[in-house]
Amino acid sequence: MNEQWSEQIFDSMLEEVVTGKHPPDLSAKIRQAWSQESSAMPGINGNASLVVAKAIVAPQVTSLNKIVSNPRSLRRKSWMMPALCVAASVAFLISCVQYWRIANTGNAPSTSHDDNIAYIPPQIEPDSRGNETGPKQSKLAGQSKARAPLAANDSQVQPSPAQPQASPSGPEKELMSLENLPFASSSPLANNDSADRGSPQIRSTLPSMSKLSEDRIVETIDSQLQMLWKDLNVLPTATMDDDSLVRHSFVRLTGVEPNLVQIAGFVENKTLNRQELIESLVLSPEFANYWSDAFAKRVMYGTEAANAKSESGKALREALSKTVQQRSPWNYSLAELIDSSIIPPNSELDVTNTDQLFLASLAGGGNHRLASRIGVRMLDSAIACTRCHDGQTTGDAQSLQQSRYWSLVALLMGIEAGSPSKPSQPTIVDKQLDLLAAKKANPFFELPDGRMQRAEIVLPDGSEWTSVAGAKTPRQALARWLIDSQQLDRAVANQAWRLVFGRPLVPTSAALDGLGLRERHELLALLGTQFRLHNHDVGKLVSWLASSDAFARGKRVLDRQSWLLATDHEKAAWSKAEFVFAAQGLLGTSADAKTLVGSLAAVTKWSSIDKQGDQRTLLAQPDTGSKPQKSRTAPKSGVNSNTPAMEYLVHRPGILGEEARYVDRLVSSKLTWKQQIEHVVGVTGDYSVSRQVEQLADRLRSEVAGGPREALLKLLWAVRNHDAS
Amino acid sequence: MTIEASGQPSLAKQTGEIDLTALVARHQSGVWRYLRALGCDASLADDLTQDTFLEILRRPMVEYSDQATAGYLRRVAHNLFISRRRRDARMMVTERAEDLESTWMRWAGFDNGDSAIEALNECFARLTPRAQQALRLRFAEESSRQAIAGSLGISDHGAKNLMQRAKTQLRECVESKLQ
Repeated sequence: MNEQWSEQIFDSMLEEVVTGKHPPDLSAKIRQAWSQESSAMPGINGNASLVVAKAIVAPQVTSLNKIVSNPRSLRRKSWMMPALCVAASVAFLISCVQYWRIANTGNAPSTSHDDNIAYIPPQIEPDSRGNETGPKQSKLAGQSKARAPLAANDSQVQPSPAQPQASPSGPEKELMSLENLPFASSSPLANNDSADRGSPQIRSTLPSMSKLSEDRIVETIDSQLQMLWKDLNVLPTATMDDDSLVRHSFVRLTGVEPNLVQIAGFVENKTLNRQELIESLVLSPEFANYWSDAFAKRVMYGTEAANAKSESGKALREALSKTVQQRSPWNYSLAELIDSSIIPPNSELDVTNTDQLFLASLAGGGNHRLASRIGVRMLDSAIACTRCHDGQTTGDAQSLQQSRYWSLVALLMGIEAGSPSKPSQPTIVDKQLDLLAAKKANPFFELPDGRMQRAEIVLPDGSEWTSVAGAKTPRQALARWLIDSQQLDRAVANQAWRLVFGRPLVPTSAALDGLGLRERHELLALLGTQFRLHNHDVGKLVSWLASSDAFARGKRVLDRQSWLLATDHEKAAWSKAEFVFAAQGLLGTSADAKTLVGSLAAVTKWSSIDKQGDQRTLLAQPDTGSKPQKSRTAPKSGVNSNTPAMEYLVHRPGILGEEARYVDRLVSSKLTWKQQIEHVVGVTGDYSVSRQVEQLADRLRSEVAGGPREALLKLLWAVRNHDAS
Repeated sequence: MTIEASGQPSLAKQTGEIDLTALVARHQSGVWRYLRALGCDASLADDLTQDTFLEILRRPMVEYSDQATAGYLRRVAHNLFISRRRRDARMMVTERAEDLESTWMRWAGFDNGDSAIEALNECFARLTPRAQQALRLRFAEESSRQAIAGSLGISDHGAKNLMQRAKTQLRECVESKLQ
């Protein structure tokens, strides 16, 4: 049905373009009609300027007891009384619950997050697996007690000494000081953690980096995550039942829902156990296609090859899928995107020149898009964020340097898109040898102080490109270096995690979240190493993740009533559990999240009712704008709804301290508004600012109370929501 | 035609009243295009757009934001369109209104479809002359497939393929621009 509507809408727009019949200006006609109509109606002066009917301003409800004013009901007077009666009943019930809560806690429920008020975890006795089993009940305690739940450690509550303290009148202005921007801290090119989280240390519980059995790897994932949950005081959700787990496995590993026979085969007949099910899925062609499609979409984002239906998109996916199905080393597939002359050991000659597809689609404009994509997808680093300035320098760790980014650009100098005979068969022109001969292969770049510096042609680890055996050009050297790179191993492990869990294990930028970042880095390093030791087999890597305990954890059952009744601390705990994979994620699950524009459009709409009172009012109202939902657990979403989706309510913009700090620093810097948008949209290294995104961001800024800061937080939420889809 | 929002809080929020001029200026093109997408011809779209605004003026409304108002206007326009169809005893095309709304938002966004139209214009200019001619004949002159095939000197099937391919290219091009 959506496709039919899409076709119809597109046809009507096409007709407008072809015929030139644009919307007419009907102002005069409408004004005249209204004047005539209102002159016949007593009490309305239709001629009086153009100010006409009275509007009912949305009520600012601050108390649950006031949820009786449903403005929609006022439109239909015949429904007014019943609606008021129902609303009053609901309000009475909620008041009773509220009274009960107050009586039990001895404190009024907080309506705003307060880091100084500690949170005592709910009085829930976990079962033997650590699941929630008891009723949810929270207590608020005074300042002398433990820290707030969001605070994994002091760094999340107290600003780092290196960061400027916010003045009472707001953040202090600074001169282009972009130090401490969080993107630098999570990169493997830089340190594994920021100083305020302590120096990274491999925990004793992690095994040595020798080749482990697959069972041992799964055990290690489980133990590492359970330790993290314990440290952060997070209670995981219950494990899924068999039926849900089969569905979840199919959807996450192949992208398709299982049919009834497949479910029955697993659930009723027990023809396969869980491990066998996952292995059979990972060996299927559907998995190979799904993995290849997911990878191609992200690595080719914004190009024709991102579209699975285009010829170049098909060719790329087929080549990648073949590697997965044959269980060939995946690291070679990635290296071949930069230089197809590399032949994996024990493999047949592949006729698909994937480097032509990859390089030609992304080359151009100084090859910055190409460098950015290689950084995120092959080096697990948002290195492009350092195009204009160095990243953070913390302690004795290496910093992410501007010069390193420009070295990557230098390795790609002279690669240009050619003029193909067919648009679907892109070609590249490699002028690297010519540039080297003419000694013009080192680009200049501008330092923040205005000086120009020549970039060195060195590999991401700082070694000379000429040190790579068999490489005649920098491009070939980069491709060959990547094959044995640990950064590439980590990048693939992170992408596999994202495919299985919906979000990467370690965010490309620490601005996205920093909860338990050190433990996550350690786990990622272990997965990267085991991926390498198991012959870079993507299928195996994914099967380890899908066999873990976290994969089987269910989604938290939330509905409007749960949200209305929950305290801020409970809401924060829900959010935190998802960030550390103790519950299936809500972010990225709605249709709006499929595109960045869609996600941003949704958040723009909800932003107008962002005050908690407005949200409560809306959530307490019956949803008159849509049919009843089949399941109350399914999050209501869609830009066609005024009601914020549950993922927006749970993961509200700015709930993470990292996000707020990142945005604060952007706002207090001397960056222009457009540059600030670019920093937020580009925080994952995948997306760029389109005109429509910019327009929506402008609209947010002008309409949202709180100005640029709130607008950027919402923009960041939209990026996260889209990124998780 | 681009109609820019003022960027200021709506007058309704400040004074509790609706400024008709501003309301019409901001939303009329979006409502009109929406009605055209529902299947109205230009004349019916004119009438129903006018009726939509009059309907809004007759009843109090909540002004949360431009987006919410635009959504409400579309809902009213949709209902008026259904009423008109019922009155004319014509086939209904109104199932799954939510699907329609979300699809509309995907194409038209929050600027009444101006960006999409602009992108479509640019993409249309990049089509081959033959593809452009075929689509002009189809949409501007409402020619039959046979007539289009005759004009271009190709078979019926060829004309169908040509138009399908052209539309697919256009959609992909517009989608990439709107990303």
